[in-house]
Amino acid sequence: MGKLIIGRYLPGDSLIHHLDPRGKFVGTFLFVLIVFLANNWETYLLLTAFVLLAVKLSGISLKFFIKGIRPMIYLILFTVLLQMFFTPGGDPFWQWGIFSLSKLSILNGLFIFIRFLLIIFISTLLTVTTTPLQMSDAMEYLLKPLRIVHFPVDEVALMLSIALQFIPLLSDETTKIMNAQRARGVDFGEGSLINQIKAVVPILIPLFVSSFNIAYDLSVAMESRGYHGSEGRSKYRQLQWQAADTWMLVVFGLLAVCLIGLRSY
Amino acid sequence: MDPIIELDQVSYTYENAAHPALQQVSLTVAAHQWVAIVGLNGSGKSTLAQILDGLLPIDTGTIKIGGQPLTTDNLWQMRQQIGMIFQNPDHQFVGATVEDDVAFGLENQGMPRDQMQQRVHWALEQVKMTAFAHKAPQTLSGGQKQRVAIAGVIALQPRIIIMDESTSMLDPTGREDILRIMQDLQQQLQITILSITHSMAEIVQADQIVILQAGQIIKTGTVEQIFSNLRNLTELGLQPPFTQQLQADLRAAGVPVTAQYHNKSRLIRELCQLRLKM
Repeated sequence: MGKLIIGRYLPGDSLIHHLDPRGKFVGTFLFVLIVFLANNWETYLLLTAFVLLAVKLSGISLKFFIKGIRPMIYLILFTVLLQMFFTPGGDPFWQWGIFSLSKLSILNGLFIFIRFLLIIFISTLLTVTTTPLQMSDAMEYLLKPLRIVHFPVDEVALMLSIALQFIPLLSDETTKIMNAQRARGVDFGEGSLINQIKAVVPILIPLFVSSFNIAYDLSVAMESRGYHGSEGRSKYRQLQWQAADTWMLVVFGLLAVCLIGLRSY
Repeated sequence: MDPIIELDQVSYTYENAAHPALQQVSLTVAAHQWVAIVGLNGSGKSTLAQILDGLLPIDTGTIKIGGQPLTTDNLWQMRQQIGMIFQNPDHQFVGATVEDDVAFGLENQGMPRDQMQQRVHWALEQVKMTAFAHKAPQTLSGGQKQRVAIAGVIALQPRIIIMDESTSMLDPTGREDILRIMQDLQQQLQITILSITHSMAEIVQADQIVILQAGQIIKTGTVEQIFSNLRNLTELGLQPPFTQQLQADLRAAGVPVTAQYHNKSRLIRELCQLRLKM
């Protein structure tokens, strides 16, 4: 768990850190769509340059991103290899049964590899420069239109922010329970698969019980502080949309236009 | 002084419980007082706190807060007058940062944002936690967390604050800090404090002590009244305060100190006087 870099926040003071989380969210989403516009090496070159520039602007070292990819590298390579061997067309210079390799398929695999890297880089960039809290605020804002269909946006946002901030408490609780069970002679991560699964039960059940207790305490505390549904509440935290955020979206738009141009060219 | 809390023959039984948690409890609390509620585990102290805030519906009896009876219709208005601070600081945080948490109760009232910012700032200043406004609550120590919980309650400016064993998970320094903050606030804002506690330091400085046993109030009185009889105390499951234990031990050793409860400074004075007479 400690190795996974996606989803972790790194405090910083860069341009990207100060962008509005809503803009970053939309930008990342747009980027994932834009990536699929690329189909030749010029377009991929442009995208790569763009991502590297964004990484540079965030003030976080490229090494960090590369480290973040490590846990996923096998998955990526597996997909890329499948693509290489199973892409039909072109004239294969090597063939064995259903497997074939051609210049076209190698190029195709390479493009997919770059596409993967770019998507992972940009989404890592989102999570490392945005606090979980900003993220849940952004999601709350972006889900707002769903109110029309009576989707409980405020409740979902409150749940999200409570869930996020109880993660450290619950993980502490888990370690505590695990150590307490170890002290009583439970072996974790040893023996056959069945035994390993069985060993999880003495963690899971106390953890469930303690989350029920926490939920009860928290709900009583919330009620005593006057929480009675999202109606009539005001908001303390407010997101601020600045010129830089608009510019960022404009840049994404320009990128898309350039890609479309390079694609047909 | 006007009574701010009046309980008349209040009973409450938990679902599936064989015995009522509170039985015919009647209690009057004067405004601006510090009341300590003591008793053994399971004597109904926390239940008493929760029925006062309308968190549990009572079976029989009436509760009046500030002269007005508590009903299901005016529950939310009444709750605005009462703030509660709970035992486990980790389980009472709603906000992701200190200031967000302090603002939570204000958001519930629908207070405009600029007014909220002032209140949050004021409340954090009262508990000396301004420097931590942007920190996550998880990064704070137990005592600091409890200070934030206090700030969250005083931001609402309630007339009554109920502390439900709020200092029981703190170290002695943290406990003293919280106690001093609460005493200052009580003086400054003229609030009434109901504190449920096992801590002797907290009990001996209260204006009134209420002793609960098996869901009934068996004794109420001032510190002197409650602690005047040592033998009685141990029957109630209360430990005598240090000074009174010392008085009893001195008497047993033949020193003619009075049997009546003294606080530290008065005991010192009496001992000095005795020394002069010798």
